[in-house]
Amino acid sequence: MVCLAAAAPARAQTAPETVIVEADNPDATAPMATSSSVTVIEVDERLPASSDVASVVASAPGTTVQRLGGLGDWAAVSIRGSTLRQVLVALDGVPLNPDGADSVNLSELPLWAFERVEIFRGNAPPELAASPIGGVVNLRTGSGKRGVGAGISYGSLRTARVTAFANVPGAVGRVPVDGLLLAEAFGTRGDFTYFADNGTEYNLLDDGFAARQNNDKRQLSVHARARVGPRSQRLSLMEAVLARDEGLPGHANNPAATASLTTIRSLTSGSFAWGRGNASGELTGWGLLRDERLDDRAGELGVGAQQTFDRTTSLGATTQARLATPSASPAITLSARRDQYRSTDVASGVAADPSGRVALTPSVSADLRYRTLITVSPVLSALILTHDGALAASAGPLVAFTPRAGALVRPVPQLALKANVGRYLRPPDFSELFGDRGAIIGNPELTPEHGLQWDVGARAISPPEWTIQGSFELGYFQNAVTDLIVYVQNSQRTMVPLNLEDAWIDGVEGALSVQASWFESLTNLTRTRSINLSPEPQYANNQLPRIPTWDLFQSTALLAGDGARVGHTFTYSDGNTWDRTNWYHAAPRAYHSVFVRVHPAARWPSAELEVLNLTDRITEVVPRNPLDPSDDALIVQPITDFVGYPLPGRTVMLTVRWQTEPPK
Amino acid sequence: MTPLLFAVACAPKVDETALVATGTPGASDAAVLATVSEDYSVGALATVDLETWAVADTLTDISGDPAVVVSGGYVFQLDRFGYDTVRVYTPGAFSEPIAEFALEDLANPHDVVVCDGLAFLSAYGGAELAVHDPRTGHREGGVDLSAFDDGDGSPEPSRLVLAPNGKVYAGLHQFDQGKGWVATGGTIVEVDCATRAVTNSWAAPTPDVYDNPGAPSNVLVHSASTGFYLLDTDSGALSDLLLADATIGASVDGVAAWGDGAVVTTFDDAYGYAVGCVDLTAWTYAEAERSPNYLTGIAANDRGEVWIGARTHWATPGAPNGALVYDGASCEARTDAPITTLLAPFSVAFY
Repeated sequence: MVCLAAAAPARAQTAPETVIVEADNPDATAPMATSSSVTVIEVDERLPASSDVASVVASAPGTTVQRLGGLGDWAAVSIRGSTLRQVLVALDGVPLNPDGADSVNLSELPLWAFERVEIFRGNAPPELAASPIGGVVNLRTGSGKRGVGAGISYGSLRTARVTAFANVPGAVGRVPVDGLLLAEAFGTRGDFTYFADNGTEYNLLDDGFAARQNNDKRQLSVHARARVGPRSQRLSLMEAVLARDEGLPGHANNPAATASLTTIRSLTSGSFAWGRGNASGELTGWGLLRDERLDDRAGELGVGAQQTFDRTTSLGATTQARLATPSASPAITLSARRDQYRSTDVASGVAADPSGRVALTPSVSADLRYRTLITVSPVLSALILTHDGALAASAGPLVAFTPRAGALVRPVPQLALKANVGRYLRPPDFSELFGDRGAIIGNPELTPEHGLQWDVGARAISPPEWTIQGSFELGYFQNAVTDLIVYVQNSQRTMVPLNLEDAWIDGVEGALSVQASWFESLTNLTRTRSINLSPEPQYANNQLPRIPTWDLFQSTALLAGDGARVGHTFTYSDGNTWDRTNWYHAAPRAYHSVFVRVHPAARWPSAELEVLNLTDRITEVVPRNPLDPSDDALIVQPITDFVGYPLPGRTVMLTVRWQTEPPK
Repeated sequence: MTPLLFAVACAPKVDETALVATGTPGASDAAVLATVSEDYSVGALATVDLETWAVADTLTDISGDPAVVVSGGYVFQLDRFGYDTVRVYTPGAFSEPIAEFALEDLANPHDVVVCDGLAFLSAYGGAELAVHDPRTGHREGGVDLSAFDDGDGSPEPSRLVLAPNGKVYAGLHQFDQGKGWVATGGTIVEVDCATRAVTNSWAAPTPDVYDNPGAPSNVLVHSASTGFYLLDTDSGALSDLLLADATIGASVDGVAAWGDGAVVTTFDDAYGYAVGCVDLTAWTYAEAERSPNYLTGIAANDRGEVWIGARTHWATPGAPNGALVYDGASCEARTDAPITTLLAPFSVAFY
């Protein structure tokens, strides 16, 4: 799954660092050719059919995915101990949460519309025009699967996914043209069984199992792209639409019966790429619209009756010009973006004043090479952020510099030594600066959250002539985060965001992949040490919540040619803390998932049976009173990432897929 | 913006008084405090010895929106918004509750008082006073308050007082939750514990009722929109406005009466907090001092002390947290600095 693992012996050719994804897709990120700590995961037949973006991202080292439930439920990612909002999620380079405006629900993104998922754990490429503290998850459409295909999955909890795609390359005259269309419908009742203690740890008489109610999801995604022209002069147009309707189940101890959220998202982008001689460039423009309708007229979510309509828009453009010479590849990137947010109380019809901001991100970068041995990649970028709207006067422009640099050393073709250092940030968002109409009082004095991060690592790949291919990667990182924005409650109904805390995170990431004609294995192991540097004694020197110290991912597959594949996935985390006081510890958890796929012939459909959470783990045993060492009583509690939002047990899915061309 | 992750504990609080509220005689030995982390995610019960002020601050874990009440010889620990559970402890024995029970979803318990051996609980999200046996936690019925429902399913019952006449007085806030919690009036109801029926009621805007140890039959009433009143539980007469908040010049947030006076906490439009004193005979107000903290729970004990929870305030995040102690009679501070607990106090009571 890691792209090196994809390098089958027959296809790896002579340039080992030029992995197969690069050969097929010149714009793909090649981990051996960049200093960045990046994992590239191809979306192909090696993944189980029920995979989603969250599970794919979770298989990369350094990532921690946090979920509110099972398939289709809200999920977001932390990278190297970051907060969820410090991770930028981009779709073909277009940010879905620009400058950490929100955490992105990975369940909204149709995995199978993309060719690969790139996870940058720092030092993101300058063309993304962003410097997020936590890194970047960039979903790349790439060339897409060729041909026409369809798939249908059905399983537990009436979970169903139907996918159809067509990717037809052609030509108009001598001009190459290709069109890609993918539509995916997903639905689930989501009514999995969970353990409920009714919120009374000492009262076992009211414990029992319950079904998660009002957790149904219905989602339709359409991803369309057209490209005209050769790579030297190519126009690309893309539209990605999401319509999602979901019940909001609320806290398990106060389940909601009718609360719902409807989301419409539309991302439209157009880009023109050109190349002439050793110069090339690209101009991309996009518009992002996101509408959310929250209906909680019954007040089940607990903050009174609500019926709101929130609209977020983002219009932006990025242009980059590059020059490629044997010794240097300088580039200039300029990105401009305007974001706007407006909330309307549907019941009263009262709309809040819109909040808007304009972001300008210039950067100058270069790859400076000494032969093929050393590449140094400095990037000097800045963020200039101005706000408008009713409260503009209270917040002046923000100007922040985010320089970074990477170094790549290739002493031999099979080895890449990497080092990166950089300064990253997340500026305060609208709510933090200006407040909302209720619980949050704005603080125009807020400064951005900053991160100073460095990492070193090595990546080795097997020689191409070996029968068994593989790669090994080992890295160490440190991230010092300052001025974390923390909400301080100031009265019964109000709270104020403040730059209160610092954090220190370091860790070791290792990845090993092995691939033979009949066997595949991928192992990722991450050790993260996170320290809360809050001045508050209750938090000082504590582990950051929901960031486990040890995280293991093991994927193993046995293959019988192209006809059959049996896969097993094992994930383990050593337990983490739920809260900043570190009083509540989640127990270590291990999950097994398996799948069996048969594909009798290339033009036949494939059938796959998959079982997630094979051992049906939904509970864990923890101390009843973590504050009293003399109390050795234990209690059962549901397994959760967020307290009150249990995770599901065993899930069985059956999938049938067919396409006109055999999988790669 | 996904809203469900931003559901915050935002319901009005309750500040509990102590044994004076129940009429139980005898000197208190300790303060029991519900303390809460700065992010309101977790809490802990803490105690402070009233002789030595020795602190035990991590006795047992509780929710992030707790309250403590002492009544009828029990310590009640309420887990409020979004938790909706109640633990009943024997005073001083906090290793394990003698009973623990859950209320209706979104009940949001605010206060409890023991009357005729049963616990009468006000639940801000319900239309009744729930009645439970404090020894077992079993529900023993309720007091129907639906006649005072303002249309949203709950009259928002909050603070409770047990008067010498053996009846419970409850302040009903009567917010319209469907219209952004706008105030629609307010009522004080009198409840007969034996029949569990409302026997009298008085209109009062958004009322909170408080024990009045100096004149126990005169329940002290504070209205968030007007000021102070007295409810004579013998005659059933509610006084005219005795002291207006406009005269105080700030919003009164908490009240603890002792003798002829009451110590109050106030906040201004900029959420600057202060401690002040109300003369309950002359009905005058004097500000004692401004506070760098966000002031939370307030309660008086039978030693004449008024304890106030002091938490981090956005304007002065470095100010020390803890419990402030004032003299109930003179309104003078007895602490130069807060009595520090690991987590800052949110609610206080005495046993």
